[in-house]
Amino acid sequence: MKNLDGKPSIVGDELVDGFRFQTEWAWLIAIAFFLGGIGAGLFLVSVFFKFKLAALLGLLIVAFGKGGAHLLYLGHPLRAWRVILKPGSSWISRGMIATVIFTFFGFLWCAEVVPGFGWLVLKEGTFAGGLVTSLAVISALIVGIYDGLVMSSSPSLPFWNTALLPMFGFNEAFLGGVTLTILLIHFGIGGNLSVNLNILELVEVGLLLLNLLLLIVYLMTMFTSNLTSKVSALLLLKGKYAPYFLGGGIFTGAILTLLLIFYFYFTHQVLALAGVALASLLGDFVVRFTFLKVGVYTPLSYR
Amino acid sequence: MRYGMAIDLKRCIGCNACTIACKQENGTPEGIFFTKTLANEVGKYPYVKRTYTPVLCNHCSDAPCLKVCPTGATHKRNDGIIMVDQDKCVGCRACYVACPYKNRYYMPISLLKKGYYGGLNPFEEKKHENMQGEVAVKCSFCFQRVDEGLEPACVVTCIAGARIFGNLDDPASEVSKLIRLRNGRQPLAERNTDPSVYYLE
Repeated sequence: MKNLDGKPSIVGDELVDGFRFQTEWAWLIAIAFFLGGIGAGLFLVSVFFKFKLAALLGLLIVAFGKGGAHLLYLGHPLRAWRVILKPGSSWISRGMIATVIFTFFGFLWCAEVVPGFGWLVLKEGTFAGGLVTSLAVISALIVGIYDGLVMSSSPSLPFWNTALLPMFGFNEAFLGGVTLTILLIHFGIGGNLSVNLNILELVEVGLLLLNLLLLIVYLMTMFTSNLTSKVSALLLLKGKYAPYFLGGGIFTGAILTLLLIFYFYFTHQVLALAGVALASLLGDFVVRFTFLKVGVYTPLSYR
Repeated sequence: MRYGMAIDLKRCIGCNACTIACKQENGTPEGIFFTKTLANEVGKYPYVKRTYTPVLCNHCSDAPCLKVCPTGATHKRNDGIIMVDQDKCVGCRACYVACPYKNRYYMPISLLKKGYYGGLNPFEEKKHENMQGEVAVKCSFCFQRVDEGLEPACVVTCIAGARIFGNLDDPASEVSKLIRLRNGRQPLAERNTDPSVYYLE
């Protein structure tokens, strides 16, 4: 598909053939996916360290942040209950069910730190305790990779239609969880929690590098799979979304974050750590947002 | 029984009479097109050619919009027509994103109040009576006409006879014969959606 200049045509809603943007899923969906990712990631990391206060924060981010953004986006929020009706085929249904299960069992897991629920102590080693933890963790995993599964399940937008997307989304979620955990512990919210912060910081560096690697592999795959996915990839690297993606996603989210981590490693300034969290989370959000925005449909005349 | 359409691209002259007939039949507000004709300029001066491709919901056998709909608002009738139940749609726009042909629209409620010429005229008032805002909308092969034994509005209005409507399951129907004889192709067949709309070239 070439236009008169020999370049792929990107068109809007005009009555001409060409690559068209998906225009409906934008800010609110990006916010919902971002909050769902970091909330679930924070919960999973907190379960590993038995850091119940952070787990509760993750749960609240998912329930109110992600849930609220989704509700605000719906055309008919009062009909939202209907969303659970098609789990056999729809990832949105499965995601909603997973979110409800996560909210319920996640709350049970960390209820003892909630004022008024101190009596609800989950005993370790019991069947009930194991069941609650397992259900909370499994549903959190689904919530963490939900955005990738929703986006990759449809064949319409080749840039999204790849199994790499859930993997990338989950890594972003896990990275967000680790970042927030480090930040909370440094600000003294962890109490008497025995966590080796040096190891956690190394995990963060590892996840950041893995994230960068996955992003490079993702873009390389998109450049070589078909013309439509190549157009999307070009929009990220050279087109109108390049300043956001390269500046926010790559520079701030990866390079600046890594530099700040090393700065923190040598100076132990809490302000640098806050900068790490801010840069990393901002990068995560920008990548999710730009991925949504560069989704283009294949023109009918393209064969 | 599977309703489908063959569109003869050699006959289409891009007059958009189908677009207007569809808007008249369905009363769609400004910016919402259940069908339209896309122009495509191919080549380089002086060897330039303009072709036209009419598009509408392809009523796919394996419709991605049907799979992703979380509420069951998008459903398929026994005759293969894909419908949207306005009362069940939550406005999540997953179907809009999932349609490889971008043939679905999201209807903001403001469009239903706006009207083409500032405020609603009596025609728009009548047509918008049973329409809901903030839901997904699309072509329904004019099911209200098809159920009465009539052809969709775009088919009867086409001045070049470029649109042929009928039962794809009946090998003796005109639409099936044309697809067979002229080697009709489905749009973006590689997406594995098995559309009920075929293009003849």
